[in-house]
Amino acid sequence: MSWTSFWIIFAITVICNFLSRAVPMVALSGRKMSDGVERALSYIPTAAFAALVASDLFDPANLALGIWPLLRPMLAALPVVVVAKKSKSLGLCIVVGVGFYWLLTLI
Amino acid sequence: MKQNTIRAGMAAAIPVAIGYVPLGLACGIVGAKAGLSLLQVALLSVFLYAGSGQFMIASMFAAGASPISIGVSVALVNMRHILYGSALVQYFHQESKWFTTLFAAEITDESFGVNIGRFQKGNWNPRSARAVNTTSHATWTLSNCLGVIVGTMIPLDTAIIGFSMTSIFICLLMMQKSTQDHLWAMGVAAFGVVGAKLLGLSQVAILIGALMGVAAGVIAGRKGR
Repeated sequence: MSWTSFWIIFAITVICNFLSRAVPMVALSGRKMSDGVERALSYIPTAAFAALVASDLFDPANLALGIWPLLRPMLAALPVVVVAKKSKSLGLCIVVGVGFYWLLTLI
Repeated sequence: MKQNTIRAGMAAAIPVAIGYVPLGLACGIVGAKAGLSLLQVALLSVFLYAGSGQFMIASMFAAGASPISIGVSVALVNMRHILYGSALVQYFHQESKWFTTLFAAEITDESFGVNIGRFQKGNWNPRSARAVNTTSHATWTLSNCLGVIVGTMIPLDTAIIGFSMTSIFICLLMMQKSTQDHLWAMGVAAFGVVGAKLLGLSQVAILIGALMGVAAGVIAGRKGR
């Protein structure tokens, strides 16, 4: 990539990304927040993880490829849910998830 | 004492690092294929440090998009990090703004997941959290650079590797509370993401879904009281 193009992309993405990450955290730190705000913030992890999972499991682009590519991530997610509930181990979930997903690509 | 907190952070980062190695390799390979140099990939990995963003830069550039449209798209996708810092700030009130800024700069979905889980359990601290971030970041950067260097010598299926991240998020999701208000937050968040994607808003789908989920949790939580 030409350095001109690169620096344009670099400047926009790095600055915006840094602001997104740092500004809320620094602006809010040391501030006493109301119970309502604290409670609202407590839903962030739940909502964020659900959104991330949904985003990974549902890809409209796969609809064009057929029903199987669309279903594959959803099916591979099922054993991960079970293992996650029982073990709460990130490592085990990765192994089970990737393993099942790979198996499904063989079918 | 300090050694132990950092070591604890590094240990906690292991699942993330394990996921980042193949994903980082793939990202480096994809970046090189799209026409980025080793230095460019390294600069992005160190200063941007965003997996989805870096993949997007490579694919959009390869597709001929203009630098500005690439920049804006990636900036939009990363706006969800606003939520992560907000959720973590309550554990950082004792820290200097400088420390908090450096910590925040290295926030990613996965390291956020590990850190928030540990903080919620009650036995975590900002220094260990920072070690999680830095360990993950270093792994990511090294893997990217290695990916550019080894090129396509290693056959990697991005979809299969990408599922390691999905697995991490599923695990973290399962560890959240399953009270009614949280279930509402989950359901609405998922619904929001699917809806946004179907409406063609896939870049901000996660942010939209997460915001809707938080709103749903707040409303459902009020009803319960």
